Amino acid sequence: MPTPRKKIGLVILGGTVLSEESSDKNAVITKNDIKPWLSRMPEINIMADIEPVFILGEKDKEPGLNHWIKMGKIIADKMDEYDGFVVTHHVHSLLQASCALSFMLGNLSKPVVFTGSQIPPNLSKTRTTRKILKKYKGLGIKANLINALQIAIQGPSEVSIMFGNKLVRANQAHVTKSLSLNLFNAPTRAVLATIDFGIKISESARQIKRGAFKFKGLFDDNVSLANFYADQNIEFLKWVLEKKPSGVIIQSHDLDTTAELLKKSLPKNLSTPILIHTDTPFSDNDNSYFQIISNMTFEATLLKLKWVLGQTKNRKQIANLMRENVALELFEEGE
Amino acid sequence: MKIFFFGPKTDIKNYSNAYDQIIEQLTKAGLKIFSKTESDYVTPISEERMAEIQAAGESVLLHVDGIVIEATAPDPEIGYLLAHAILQKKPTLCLYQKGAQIKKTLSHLGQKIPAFIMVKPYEKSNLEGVIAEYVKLFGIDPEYSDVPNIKFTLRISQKISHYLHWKTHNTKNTKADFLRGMIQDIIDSDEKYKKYIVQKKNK
Repeated sequence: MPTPRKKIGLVILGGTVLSEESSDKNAVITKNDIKPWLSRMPEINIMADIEPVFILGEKDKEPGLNHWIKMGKIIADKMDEYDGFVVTHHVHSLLQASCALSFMLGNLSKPVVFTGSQIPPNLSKTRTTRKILKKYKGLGIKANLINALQIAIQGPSEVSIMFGNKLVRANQAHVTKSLSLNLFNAPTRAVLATIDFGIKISESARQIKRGAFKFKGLFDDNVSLANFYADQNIEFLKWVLEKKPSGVIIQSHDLDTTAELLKKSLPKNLSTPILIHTDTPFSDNDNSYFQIISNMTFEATLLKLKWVLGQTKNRKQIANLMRENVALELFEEGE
Repeated sequence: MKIFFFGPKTDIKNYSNAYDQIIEQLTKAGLKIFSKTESDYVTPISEERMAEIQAAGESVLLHVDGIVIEATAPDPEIGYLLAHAILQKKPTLCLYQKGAQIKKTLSHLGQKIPAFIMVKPYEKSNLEGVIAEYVKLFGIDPEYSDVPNIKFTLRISQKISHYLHWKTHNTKNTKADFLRGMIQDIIDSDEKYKKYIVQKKNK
C-alpha cells in the first residue's frame, strides 16, 4: 500500500546560504528568491512536500523576539496541517530563537527542527576562510537541511537543533568552541539523535510523554543583563534597577562574592526579580534577594525569564516557574 | 569500493532473503558492504575511524563510494538516502520488485534522474547482471574483475599436489593463492593477450 507523503513546513529566517560559491546568490535574500533557491536542491522534494514560509531574508537585520513570536504563531496555526517543521535561521541568534520557541510551544506533538548555514552571505574569501572552507566541506545548508527534513519526518516531537551529525535539544544546547560541522552540542541526555548512515534516535528522545498542545506566545522583553566579576561594584546594578526592568539576570563569574554583595546592598523582597546565572552547581538558593540558576544554559535562562514574565508578574509564581521543568530545559542530575 | 546497502526493516520477514542475495552478489562483485543488522550497522571501518568521523560532525555516507537500496518496501529512509546520494553524487543502485513505488518517489525530483542513480527492477535470476551493470559505474568491468568468485575444479597429480603443499606450507598463502598468482604473472607478461584485450575493448 502506498504510504502518504509527509508535508513539512519550512520557515525561513536566514541561514540559507547553500555553498561557499557566490554565497550571496545562493541564498534567500527576499521572498522571491525562495523558488530558485529550492530549485537548486531538487533532491529534497524526494523526501516530502515542502511548503516554505518567509519571515526574514539573509541580509535583513538579526531576528529578534518579535520575529520569533511571529514564527511561533505560524507554527502553532499550522500544527494540524503539517507533519513537522524545519526552521532555517541565522546562526548567531539561533540558540535564543529555538529556546524561545521551546517555551512557546507547550506539549509539542510534532518535530520542530532548527538548522542553517555556517557560511555568511557576502563571504570574503581571505586565505584563512579559503583554508577553513577546504577543510570543512559542507558548511552550507544543503546536508543540514536534508538531515533536518528527515528529523521533521520521523524525529522526536520537540524543538531541536540539527547541525553536522548531531541533533540536540534546543533549550539545553550550547555553541561548540571550535569550528566544526557540529556547531551545537548538549549534555548526553539532551543529544536526541546522531547520524551515521541514517538517523539514530536516542532513548532519551523516545521516552517523553505529553499532554495537549498549547501555544503560549506572551513574552516580556524588558529584561536587563549584567556581567559580574569578583571586583564588581553594586552601583551599576542600582543604575540598571532605576530603569525599571521587569527582571534582571546577572551572569556571575564569582558566585560567592556576587551573592554577598547583593545581600549587603539590595533591599529584601525587591519587586524586580533578580536571577544569578552561574555554572557552579550546589549553590545555596534559599534567600529572598535573588534566585540562583545553575541547571540551565544562559540562553535558556534568559528566554525562559522573558517567557515567564509574559505569563505572570507575581514574584512567587515567577520563582516557581523558573524552578519548574517547563520544556525539558533543566539539566538532569549528573549532567 | 565501499558500498552502503540499505533494505527497509518494515517488512523484513518478506525481504530478508532478497537482502541476503543482494549482499551476496555485491560481495561476489568484489565490493565491501556496510549494512544494517537488527540492532546496528556492520561496517568495514574501524571503531577509531568511526569515532573520528562522528567527532568531525560528518555523515558516514561521505566515506562510502556508493549506495545500494532495496526499495520495494516503502520507507522514509529511502528518500533520505536518495537525497544524500544526489547531493554527494554517489553512484547509487535502487533495486525494486514488482509493485514498488520507487519510480513515483523519484518523480518528485521534478527533473531527469541523474546518470549516477540506477533504478532497476530485479528478480533472483537477473540480480547478478544488474549488479554487474552497477559495478561498471565505478569503472570496473566485471569481465576483467580481479575478484576470485568463479569456482573451478582442477584435477592434479600427486606430484603437483606434493609440490604445492611443500611450496605453501608455513606461508600465509594457500595453494589456490599460489596458483592464482602464477596465472596472474603469466597474464601480465602475455603481450599477445594484452593486444587482444585492447582490440576487444575498441570494438
